[in-house]
Amino acid sequence: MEKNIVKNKRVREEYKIIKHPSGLTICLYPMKGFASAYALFAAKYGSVDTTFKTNEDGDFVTVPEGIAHYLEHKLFENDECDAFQLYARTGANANAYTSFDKTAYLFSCSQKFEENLEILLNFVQEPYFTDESVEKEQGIIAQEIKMYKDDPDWRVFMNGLQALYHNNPVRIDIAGTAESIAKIDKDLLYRCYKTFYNLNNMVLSIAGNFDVEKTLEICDRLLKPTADLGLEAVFPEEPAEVKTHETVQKLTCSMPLFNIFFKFPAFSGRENTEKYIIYNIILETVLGKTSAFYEKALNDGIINNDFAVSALNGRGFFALSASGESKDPRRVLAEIKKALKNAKENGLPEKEFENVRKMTYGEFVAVLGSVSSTATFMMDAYFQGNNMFDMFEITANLTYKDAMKLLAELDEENACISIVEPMEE
Amino acid sequence: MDNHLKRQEIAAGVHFNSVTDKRYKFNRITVGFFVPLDEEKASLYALLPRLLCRTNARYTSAAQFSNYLASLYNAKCDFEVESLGDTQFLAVSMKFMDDGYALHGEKITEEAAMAIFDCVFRPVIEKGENSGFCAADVEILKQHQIEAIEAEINDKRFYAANKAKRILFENEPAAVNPLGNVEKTREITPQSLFAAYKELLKSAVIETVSVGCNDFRSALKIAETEFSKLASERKNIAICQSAYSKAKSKTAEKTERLPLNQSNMVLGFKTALSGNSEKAALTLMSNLYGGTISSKLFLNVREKLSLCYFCWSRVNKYKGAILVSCGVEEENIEKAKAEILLQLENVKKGDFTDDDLKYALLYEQNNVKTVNDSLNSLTWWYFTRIYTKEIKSPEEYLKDFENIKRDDVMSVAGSMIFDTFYVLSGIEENEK
Repeated sequence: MEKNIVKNKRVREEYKIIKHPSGLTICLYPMKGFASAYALFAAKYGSVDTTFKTNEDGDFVTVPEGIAHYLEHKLFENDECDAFQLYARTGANANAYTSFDKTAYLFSCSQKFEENLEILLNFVQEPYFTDESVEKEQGIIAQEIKMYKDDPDWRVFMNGLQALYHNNPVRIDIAGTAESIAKIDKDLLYRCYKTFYNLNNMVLSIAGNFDVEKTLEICDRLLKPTADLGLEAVFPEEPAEVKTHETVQKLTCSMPLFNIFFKFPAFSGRENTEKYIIYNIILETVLGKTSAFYEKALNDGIINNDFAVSALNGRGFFALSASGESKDPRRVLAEIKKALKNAKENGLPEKEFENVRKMTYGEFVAVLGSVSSTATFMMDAYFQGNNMFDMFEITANLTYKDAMKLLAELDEENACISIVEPMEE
Repeated sequence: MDNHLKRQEIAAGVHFNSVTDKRYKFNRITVGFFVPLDEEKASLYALLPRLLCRTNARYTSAAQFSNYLASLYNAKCDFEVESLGDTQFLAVSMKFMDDGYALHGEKITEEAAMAIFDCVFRPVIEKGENSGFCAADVEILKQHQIEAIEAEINDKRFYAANKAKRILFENEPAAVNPLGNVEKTREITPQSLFAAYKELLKSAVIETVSVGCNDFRSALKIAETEFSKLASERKNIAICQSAYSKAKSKTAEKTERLPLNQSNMVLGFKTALSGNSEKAALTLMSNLYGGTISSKLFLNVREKLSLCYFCWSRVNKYKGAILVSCGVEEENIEKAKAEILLQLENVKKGDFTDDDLKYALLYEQNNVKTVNDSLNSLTWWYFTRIYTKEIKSPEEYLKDFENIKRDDVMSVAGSMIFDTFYVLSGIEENEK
């Protein structure tokens, strides 16, 4: 077992990253004084992983949209009972989620940690699907899909990604469609499970109130070693330009919502993390609450306090986003482009840049005050090939010059806007 | 670890409460105001914390204040407007990093504590004949409040639950939207808002709750100084409490149709509770009925019948009510409703195991003990405890559950009356 202690002098904190003989990577962050613990058992497998092969397969296979999410629903069952009933016996809060690039199973508890961990490790490692149980889940997932169809925030976001990308599977809705999930059967689920739920492709991330030695003893006992199958997931070629500059949908909502995206190529590893942090700081400096743009747009009444900016990154995609509500979303886009162009030509305002850098650093320190955020950041950092303290260092060491260099790479015209408008009465 | 709240009265009807715990790396100071929920005043009062957290006399523009807060490593000055039963709760809060984590040794705590009391006591005022708040700011924030009120429809579950709540508590303060309404918000002027501000400082029940790693001595000192200036004015303090309401003689039913893909239904039940043990029994009853992923509603309506993605029950402890929410296909509404009512009947009859009851308790214990780990949760915990005049730490609260038996749960379930049935339904094809 290879143990690595990751330390950070700036915040005087440390955690352990362990490569377990089973193939699993384990991140452990005991937090003194906390009553609860939060554990995530996650696979590097999300909705974008639709085409893949392992060294046991002859050729690449393409599976129906939404299958990673379907698998997440079905893993909660085994041949005797479901994980919900097991967690009921401990009182833990258990859940799972599927994102574009990962699937995570989690629990939060303030008692019976070891028992909860055993439940988590057991059910995720013991798939049990029957034709009947797979069919039964279709009704539940179909209702989840419908719920999101009525959610204007989700629709404006997903429509934006569909305008941004031609082929990148991040444009596919995470839960798939009623038609695509109808094609999913137990054999496909087993195939995806075998491919992606390989411990070499997974991480166990735990933070809060737990005992490291007991945790490792449970891992030694319950983790089933798996050989690395040489998994390859492929993404189709993606043109550099946005697919379409504007998309509009009408839905039941109170006022127009918008999501603007600026397109970038995908990054990986530390570069992905660095660009994510630096572009977030750039966006906040130029368009965030501290900026002249924000104050003017708010005073002109073209945005309200729901306006938000962020970088969106993951495995195989990277974009910058600005979202909110506006009676004139197209004017917001024009003003944002103008503000970005101005910052490129005349430089970022130095004082605001420094304040936003401090603000970002403060946001990262805040993560360490929450067991769930700490466990989630460790998981995300691992999947991106970093440790979670890298983000503190990137922020603390960021210079104005570095930020200006990245700002120059932004093409403000390679953008799209998604608008969701209220239905006419 | 038990968190002991330190509480002291610093002016008439004004208390300073604090919890110091070294596990935290941040601090949060929240100034909370309790006033009776009233349709006439709700819009005015709701706008106040939105305005107060935006600027103050030292930082007169929102951009200046935002920059200042950013320089304090993301200190966050925020507002809350909520209803607690028949009471409107308004708050201005400041969350800030502990000094020890600053990159260049900046003194964050002192600055942040001063800033929040500046926001509450030294807002930007336009002086002159018609002195009042800054007219331009008021106009912008009125529009934001109107947009927030109208945005209720964007979240269909939230919208349906609120609509049901308004029928459930018809003609009671609890039916009033804590954000107020669009018409009353439009009528607000800088002068009427300023008058409401003065009224709020004079008559609201005011509680400051500070939680974090700091000892809050400097915050207490500032609070004492500021609130002492109000001492002579605070003669008539509002009485803020909630009353249980009588269930309707016949279930009120309402269906609203909008262009939607999924129907959302809400069933509202009422009871009257006496004492802490009945409140605890109601909580356990809701947990085992529809509060958890092993509850009767989850296992039957979702897992067994595959009718929905979500079906849950939530307690409104201030009003002795339970609301069940469920998202379903239009053609399955009656089937889901029948199953939800059948499961309640089963709980009434005692069709649950001792283990089910034990699990409902374990779930409650787990959640309540977790409260201590979050500044925001612990702050909210104490505001709600203070409001109900049952000031207990999470650990002390759990003692209320020690002697709850299955008969208590059956009894509280048996007292539930089906008061309201609200459906938010998609428009049928032939209606489009």
